[in-house]
Amino acid sequence: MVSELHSPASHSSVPVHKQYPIVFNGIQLGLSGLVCALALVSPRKSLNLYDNPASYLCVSACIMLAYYALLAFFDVYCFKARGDSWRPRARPTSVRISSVLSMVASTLAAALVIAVGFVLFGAPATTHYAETLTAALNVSLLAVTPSILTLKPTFGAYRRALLSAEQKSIPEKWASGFFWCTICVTWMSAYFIPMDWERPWQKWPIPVIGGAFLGNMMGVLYVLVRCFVVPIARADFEETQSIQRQMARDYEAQRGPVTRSMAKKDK
Amino acid sequence: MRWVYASALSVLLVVELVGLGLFAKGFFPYKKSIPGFAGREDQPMDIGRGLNAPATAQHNNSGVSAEPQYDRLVLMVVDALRNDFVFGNESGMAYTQNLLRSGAALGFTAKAQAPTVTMPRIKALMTGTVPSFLDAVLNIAESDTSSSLKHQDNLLWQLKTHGGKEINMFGDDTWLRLFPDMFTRTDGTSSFYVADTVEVDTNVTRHVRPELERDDWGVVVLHYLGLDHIGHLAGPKSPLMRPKQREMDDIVRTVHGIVADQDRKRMAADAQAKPTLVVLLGDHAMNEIGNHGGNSQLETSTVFVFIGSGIAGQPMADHGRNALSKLLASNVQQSSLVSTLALLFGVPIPKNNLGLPLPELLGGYSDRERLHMLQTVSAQIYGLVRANENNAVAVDLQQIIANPAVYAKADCSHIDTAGSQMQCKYEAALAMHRQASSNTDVSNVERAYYEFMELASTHLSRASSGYNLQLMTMGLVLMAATVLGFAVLCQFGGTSLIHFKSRRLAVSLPAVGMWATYLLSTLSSSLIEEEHQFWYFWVQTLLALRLATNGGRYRTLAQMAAFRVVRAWNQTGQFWAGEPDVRQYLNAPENAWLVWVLAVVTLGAINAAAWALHRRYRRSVLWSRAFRGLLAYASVCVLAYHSDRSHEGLTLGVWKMVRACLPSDSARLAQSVYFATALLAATSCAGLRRAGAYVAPLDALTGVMPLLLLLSRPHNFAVFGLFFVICALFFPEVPTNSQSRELLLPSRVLVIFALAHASFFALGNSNSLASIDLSNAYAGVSRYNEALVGVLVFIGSWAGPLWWAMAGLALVALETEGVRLQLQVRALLAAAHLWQASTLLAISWVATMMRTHLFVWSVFSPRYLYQIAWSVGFYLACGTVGGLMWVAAIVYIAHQR
Repeated sequence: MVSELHSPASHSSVPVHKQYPIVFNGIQLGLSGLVCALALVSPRKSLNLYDNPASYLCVSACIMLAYYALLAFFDVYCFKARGDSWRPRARPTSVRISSVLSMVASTLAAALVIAVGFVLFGAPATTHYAETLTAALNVSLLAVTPSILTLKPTFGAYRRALLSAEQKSIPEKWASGFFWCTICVTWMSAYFIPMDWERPWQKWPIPVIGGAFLGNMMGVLYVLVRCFVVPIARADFEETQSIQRQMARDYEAQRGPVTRSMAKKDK
Repeated sequence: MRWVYASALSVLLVVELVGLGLFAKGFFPYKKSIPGFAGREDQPMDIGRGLNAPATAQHNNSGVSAEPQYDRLVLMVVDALRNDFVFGNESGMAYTQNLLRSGAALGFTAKAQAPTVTMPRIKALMTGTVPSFLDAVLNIAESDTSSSLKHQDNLLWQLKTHGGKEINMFGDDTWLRLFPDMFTRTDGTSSFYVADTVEVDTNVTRHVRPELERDDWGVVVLHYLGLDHIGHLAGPKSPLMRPKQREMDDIVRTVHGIVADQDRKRMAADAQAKPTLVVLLGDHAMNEIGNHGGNSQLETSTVFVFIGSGIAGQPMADHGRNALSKLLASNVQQSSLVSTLALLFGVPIPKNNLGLPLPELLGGYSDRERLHMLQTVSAQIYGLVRANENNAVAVDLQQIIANPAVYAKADCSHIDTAGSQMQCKYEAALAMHRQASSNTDVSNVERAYYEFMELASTHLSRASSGYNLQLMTMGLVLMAATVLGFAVLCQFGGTSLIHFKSRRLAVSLPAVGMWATYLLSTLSSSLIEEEHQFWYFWVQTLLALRLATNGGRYRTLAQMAAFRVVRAWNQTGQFWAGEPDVRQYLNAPENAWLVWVLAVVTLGAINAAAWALHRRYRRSVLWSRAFRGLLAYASVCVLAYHSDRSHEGLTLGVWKMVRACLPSDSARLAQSVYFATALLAATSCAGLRRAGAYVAPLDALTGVMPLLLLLSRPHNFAVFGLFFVICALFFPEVPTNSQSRELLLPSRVLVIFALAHASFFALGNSNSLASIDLSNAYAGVSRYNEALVGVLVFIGSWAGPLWWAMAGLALVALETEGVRLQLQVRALLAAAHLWQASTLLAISWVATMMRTHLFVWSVFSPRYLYQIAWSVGFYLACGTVGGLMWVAAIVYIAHQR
């Protein structure tokens, strides 16, 4: 990953939003949502979330992992395509493979941390290991892997993007959007477990998985607004303003200073 | 300002108490029942064809009612007799099982209704009604006599008055309070001295032989309490349980033997004499822990076993497995006892009965007699329907007799008003009865009667509590006013809620989030039953938020880990109550050593903490030594007390030497702990003049521990140790590293507040009456004393919250001084009361909304009682009065310096 990607604003003359081809990045965002949804589609009927959640969650994790591995390999994720170069940067294959491996390793590490979090928040500690671990892996893929692919691999970068309230660059917004949306909805979904509705989906870890996927979808929406709509609208607004200013200046240049107050200001 | 605050606070609290009182008066009414007693004249004429001329049969008691089948009754009540204790594979009741297998006895699983505590159950068993919820509370307030059945129609009165029986009673003295002047010979035992499992029963058994061998009695009631006491002390899997069941079985054998012998003699002497019926029953059952009171499957599954010469059950052969296990699923309602026995003994049915007679026991009668009996019960139940439903009107028997075909064919299913529907069903049954001739199959008539009775019984047991909505609304309005008042008090008397200038919240977001979700969760009956889940979840959430926004990562992580262990200690609630937990592991006999190791370690750690704190904060040698010495003495006393009471106590040689130096009586041990606690408070204050007064609360954290541990179970000692660890990790506060996230950072006081609520559940309590732990309620009380026992039960149950409240005050006192301390305490109090009042309002409102809900007695009412205990006992008495006095003492001492 190149460091300049992560600098909040580049001071070139081209407006920020114009540096990022919207169509390409938008396709990626849509695709990530689609893959996450596809991961929930079971290949076989017997392989479902109620009967054997662990193997089902393994399959969905593998699908997402494969998708993210492709992204990491070709280095095309989250505004990696900039300016006019639609093509990914040329990198030696060994670097590509090592970036994929480091993505997988960090995802697994994050999954372990999340599994510990699950247990701390009340998941069974002595049974259901497979369910807890695979659920944690899924949540990690949904919540943390976007950050892993986006942020610099330093503690400070993560804290800045995920925990601080400072001004954030667009990739940081992307990362924190996915992270917080997924984590918050996952947190809320735990409320369904103690309800006495006696539904099959109320057993561990199904509500949490549902929450995580739903949170990820909400993350997609949030990122869409935060990283696409808002910057474009803002840039558009600024552009309009600058055009108006230009027009006013041109008008003045044609007619000369008209009002007294303006004349005074000029002095 | 101080006086304005104090007077505002007290006015608000008084208004809240008044509102609470009004609401409770409207919500928990004494049960309204039809006054008066049923007589022979209430028996309807037999509508069956052809035997009695309708005109003369009215108010006729001679030829109508069938002959009684039994003359005498032995009612053997075994407290908390769960169905598997009799029918199960592990049962020790071999004789009873043999009777059941051979068909000489009939067994049923009788379903009790919540509240499953003794007094309401006896009321239900003898009146056939669904008792009001207030009886559950009065069950604990033993001396209350207003709940007696002197003025309510009941089976015993009927047997005495219309059956002419002499009634004797031995056992639980609840019966004596319920039925004053009913019994001829009595010997009551107190049901509340739970620690005794032997004497209570021998006190009853010594009467069995002499009393039954006399020939003047008609009814004997035996009420055995030992089994229940074993349940409370050690649970249904206790090693004492099977010997106790065998003892009960022996009594059944004795009773059955004597009675059969006597019956033979009596019937030989007098051809008119009828045999004796022995009924073995439980008033309620017990859950996996051995407690009861709630509505769970285990608590409500108790037993009826009918033994008598007229009983002809199906012989059951074991084909490789226990044939009786199918009885575990054969549910009948407990209330059916009254109508069944009244019919069998030929006495009028008590007026408020809602129970259906058991068809299995009416097999000895002819069709005509049986139908007339069903008609009698239906007429009695229809009387109740008419008293409760405005649109059910008197049934004109003559009309039905005139054209039964019209009534019999009526389609009742689509009538929407319950009263008319029941009337329709009743009329249909009567008409079918009229149509039935002697040589046709009468089972469809019986079915019609049972259909009506079931419908009426379920409908009436749901509706049979009248609420006073006016009082409830007044209470709600007053409570809403107090919530507003506390909000204003918070805004102006404490740290404000809202910055008016910046139009922003001044309280942290986690606090608001927790408050809002908590109020929302009161709407859900499952989140009331599983309230512990809410608190456990939020404690971890708050700690995680601290982890995310604050430094001190390792300490917060350690706190989370420690709390996770606390959470696994006692499974509580309803749904997962039986899941494996640390308590179960520790209570297994082979792990008893671990309990004592943990207990000794905890007590040692508390003493070590006292040493460390004193070395750090105090210089006074004498008082400090006195404090530590007293603490050590009290700790050893606590250990001795629990070791003596346990069946697997400490047996080490060293311990025996220590034990020899302590009082030998366990009541004395407990009393010396109380005394030592008082002295600890005194020494803690006495040493203060030289040190800073503000360290005094730290002494309380260690000094109060022996008292709290004395009133807890030994397996919970380590939980208190973990609380200590979690609390210690809060000191000192780490400065925040991200200023802008300050609103997200939960303060330590907020986390401690959540921990206080969570600790209540972590020690094994829940929102069900079943979890009230009476095992240590009599520590040091040699005589029954309601007020004292009540206080001990409260301290025992609220031990965790009380300790955490002290920890919170200690934290505030340690970090702020003088005038600021007062401000802090004011703000804290206002916030705590805002929480408490809004919760009370929410729960009252939910209870009002849900007053016709199925769960109102099993879920919402117990929750309401717990909320009263939280609001009045914890927040008002302990938090406000106790806390203010404490702070005042600290400030006073600090100024004296």
